[in-house]
Amino acid sequence: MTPILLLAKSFVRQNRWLLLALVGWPFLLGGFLRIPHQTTSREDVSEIVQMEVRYGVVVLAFLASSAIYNEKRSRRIIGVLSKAVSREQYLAGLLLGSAYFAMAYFASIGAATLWLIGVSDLVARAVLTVFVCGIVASLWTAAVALFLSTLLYPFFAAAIAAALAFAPFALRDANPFLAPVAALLGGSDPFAASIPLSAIITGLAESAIILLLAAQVFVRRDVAVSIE
Amino acid sequence: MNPVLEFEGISKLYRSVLRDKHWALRDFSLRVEPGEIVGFLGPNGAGKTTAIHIALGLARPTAGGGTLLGQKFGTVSVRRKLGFLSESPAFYHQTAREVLKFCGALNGVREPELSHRTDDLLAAVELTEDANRNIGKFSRGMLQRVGIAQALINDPDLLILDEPTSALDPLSRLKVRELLLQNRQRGRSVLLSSHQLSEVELICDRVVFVQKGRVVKSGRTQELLLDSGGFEITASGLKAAPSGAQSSHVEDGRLVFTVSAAQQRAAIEQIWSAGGTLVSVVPKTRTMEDLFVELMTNSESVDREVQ
Repeated sequence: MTPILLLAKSFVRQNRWLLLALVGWPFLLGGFLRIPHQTTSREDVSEIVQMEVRYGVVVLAFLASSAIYNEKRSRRIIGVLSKAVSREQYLAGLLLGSAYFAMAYFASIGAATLWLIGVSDLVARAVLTVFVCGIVASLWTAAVALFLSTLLYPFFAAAIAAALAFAPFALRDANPFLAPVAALLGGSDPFAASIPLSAIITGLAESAIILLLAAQVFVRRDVAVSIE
Repeated sequence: MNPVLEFEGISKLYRSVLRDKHWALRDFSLRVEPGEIVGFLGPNGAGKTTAIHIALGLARPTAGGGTLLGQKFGTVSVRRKLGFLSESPAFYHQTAREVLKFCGALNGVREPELSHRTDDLLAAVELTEDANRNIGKFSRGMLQRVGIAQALINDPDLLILDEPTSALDPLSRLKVRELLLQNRQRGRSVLLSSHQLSEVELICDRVVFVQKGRVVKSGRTQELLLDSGGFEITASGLKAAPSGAQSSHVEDGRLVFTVSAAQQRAAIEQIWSAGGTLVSVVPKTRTMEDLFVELMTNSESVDREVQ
């Protein structure tokens, strides 16, 4: 467990400036919304929150897909995988780092929401729903992006992962097993939605399975060859 | 005794996108025994780093196999007892102390031993004063010293070092040499890939030369450096060199000449019978650089002939 935690911490540390920018983003957007009107409507906030959540998921897809590539390019991957670290632990560290990243971002969305429309039971529950669903959706997309990045260039991996996450939004009834992100984030009003427990369990389980598949591919790949 | 590192007939083929083939290693075999320092020499692109990466499980061989500390290549747990420094060490941007602790923790070293070893190694590579500076601001030499320290953080049974002293100043090189010799005294083994041939000559028990993915020569350092060309004999009281002398000159009034091993005895008897005095008989030796150039030039010309 220690290597996974250490690698996750390093992942967050390497991306700390992006994380700081993302954490500040909901407050900046909230500020723009609040300043001209002094008060903000729930509908406006609901729209912004939905947009921020989807942005977050896409950013996580790009971040996770470029993680291995960046580590290879910097040659840090050689330093890490020459230690007693398995490929499974390495990928799990990157995914956990992505999860930490998502936690910080969705916590900031929650805090900005409470700042904009005040604290109430309804808002607190909605914020919790957004927080949990956002993290699980990000984790699933990051796991897919990580898996694809063991085979493809990061940009293609991120693009395909984002497409797999968001294309089912166009369908009227997406199967939650095939499209957990749509099941998690598909509600039109996050304040009216309740926590979709089955989608959360599905999302987490599928993330774990995708991670194991990624490890099976990654263990068969040379990590020390030139990536150019 | 079981070897600490063994490559058995390893071949490695790289294919590019356009399906160009490049054999980095071909039927490559090598053994490192416990307690010895083995020099791993060859020109750039000879396959040294590929061989090291295969041993570490970073790359998979196309054919063949091998063992690292008694376990098949790629076994994760065995790397807890391995120290590795890559050719261009790269670390997360942390302080030098954090880097050592990070590397030690990945190899399963726990507190308080981790802190003690970190402090000792920072002192050993003379980085105590810079221990809390971010390594992003370090010079290449300082980074290399951090690299050497992290390779030793888990008190490894086997050290694999790829160009450990290329960026170091002479004093730091001396320090690293001492560290390696200390490790050998404690029964640890070292595989040292280096282009610093004088250093290899000084500290390696055995040397392996690689070119184009194959071992072209290996043997004990002192034996390899002995020039089979013969002996240099110095004598006084002689007017002319004995018959069979290959070259001769006068130095400080003494006659210095070389003879082949077969003629050494006859030459000495001729000195005595001519009333001369034998001052010294020294086996002719060559430097590691001479040997390296000779081997690499020969194997290149053999390759050209084959083609």
